[in-house]
Amino acid sequence: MKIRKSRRESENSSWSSMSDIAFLLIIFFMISSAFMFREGINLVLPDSTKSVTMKSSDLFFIKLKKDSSIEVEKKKIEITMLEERLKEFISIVEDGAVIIQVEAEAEYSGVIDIIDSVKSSGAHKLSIKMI
Amino acid sequence: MADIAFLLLIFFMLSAIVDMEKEIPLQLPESGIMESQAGGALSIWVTSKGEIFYDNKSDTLENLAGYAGYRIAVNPETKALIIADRNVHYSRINSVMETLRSAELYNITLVSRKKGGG
Repeated sequence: MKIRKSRRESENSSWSSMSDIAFLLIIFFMISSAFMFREGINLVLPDSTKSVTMKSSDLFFIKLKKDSSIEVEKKKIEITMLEERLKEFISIVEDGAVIIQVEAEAEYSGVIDIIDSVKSSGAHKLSIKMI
Repeated sequence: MADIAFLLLIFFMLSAIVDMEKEIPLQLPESGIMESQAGGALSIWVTSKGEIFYDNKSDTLENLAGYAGYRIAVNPETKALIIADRNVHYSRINSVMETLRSAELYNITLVSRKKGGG
């Protein structure tokens, strides 16, 4: 009598702990699938029907060449210096626009580097043009 | 109760595995600015060879225009993720962006890895 009772008890307890583990795993998988975030740089592409005219003094041109070198006003510049230059430009022309001219064969990572410095410099008008 | 729990467990495990299969090995570019974008967006993968994948298959830009147009018609708020290799030529990304623009999909995210982080 005693032996049978204890056996039943042990069966019950093993099943309830099993479902505890199962629910724990369910919660883990639910949360991990809900947090499938992608991180990156958000851009809003321009509407092709609208065009904006700006004074040339309000524009800052950055040229990215296919060998990944960057030119500002026809002078080579390091990517680390770019953000400072942009900050200077934004402090003078608050509403200025940055135009990135990219050579078709330039690497994509170079473009991301430039967009990154433009965004962190505080400029919010940005245009990317392929040349 | 435990039966239901195991059923759900198997469901979520399988869905996690299916999600994993979509990944294409890429070297993402790095950036300091990170803005997060929740799932449910149209993901476009561009490999270092310039091949374009979306909706789990390799396809051409012409078909992408049609598919993006369809997604915009279903939900005008659709966003696109461009998940591209860092070594791909910019012209390829430009044509993807132009295609999306022609389909009136204007909200895009250039997916990147956090600079310095793992």
